[in-house]
Amino acid sequence: MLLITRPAYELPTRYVSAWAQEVVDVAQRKGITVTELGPDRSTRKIVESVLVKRKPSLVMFNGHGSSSTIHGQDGEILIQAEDNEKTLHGSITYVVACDSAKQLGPAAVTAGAKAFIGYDRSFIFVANQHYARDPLKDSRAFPFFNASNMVMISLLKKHTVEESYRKSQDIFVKNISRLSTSEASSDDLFDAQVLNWNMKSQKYLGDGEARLV
Amino acid sequence: MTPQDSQKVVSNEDVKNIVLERLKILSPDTVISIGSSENVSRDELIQHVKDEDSVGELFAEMQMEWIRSFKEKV
Repeated sequence: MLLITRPAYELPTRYVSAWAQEVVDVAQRKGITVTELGPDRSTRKIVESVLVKRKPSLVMFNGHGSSSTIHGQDGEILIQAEDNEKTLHGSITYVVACDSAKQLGPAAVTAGAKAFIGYDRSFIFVANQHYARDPLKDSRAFPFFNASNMVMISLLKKHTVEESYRKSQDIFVKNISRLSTSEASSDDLFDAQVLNWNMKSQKYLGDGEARLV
Repeated sequence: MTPQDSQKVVSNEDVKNIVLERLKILSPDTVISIGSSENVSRDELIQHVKDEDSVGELFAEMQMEWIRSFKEKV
């Protein structure tokens, strides 16, 4: 089972959650049960309830974060180190948010999470402001979420955590190369720099051989 | 300037100028989402770099990391 949070209340959460649709589609095509928590259900109470009662083997958090927290709708803290990270026990978790691989990731693995994949610095993306209300049509945002989503798509295909991390890193490299050719525009080169930052911030912790069962 | 300020990457005038030149030529419809901090326009990002604040510092570090990644390849 996959648990996925999709808060949406300002531009960053609208984008991250919109682009997570690809992950939901792949999971459903593969016949994997998906518990999708949209804006009205990305709350601590509901997330904890699903984690404890249904024990999903795969979890994807989208939105904001800090070194010790993951946030949901309107910035509510969903998971916090030294508080409720044990609810991730037995799961493989991927967090598309800032900094959470710094402190929360190690805490979750210590508390029994099989693996934790996330970013140990800011997760940054570039967009075109004209698509603020229709993120999936924003081709400028594509390389960021294309590389990020590969972690989940690979995990859903039963690849291991390490393989999924490597595949995501490969897509980062491919997209950076595509955006930094000699014919690249100034926007392309800037976006390549940001992708390079995200690629180097992405980390996995825990059992690299773990996979979706 | 405090001792801490002098350690900032963005406080290096050469680095700051490189970052500013890079940002000035971005499309005006560019918006950058910087995690939990905020999302900023091109012109707001330029101001952050000029102000040498935490967002400006982040993008100066990013620029230096990009340059280092090319040096590693050579």
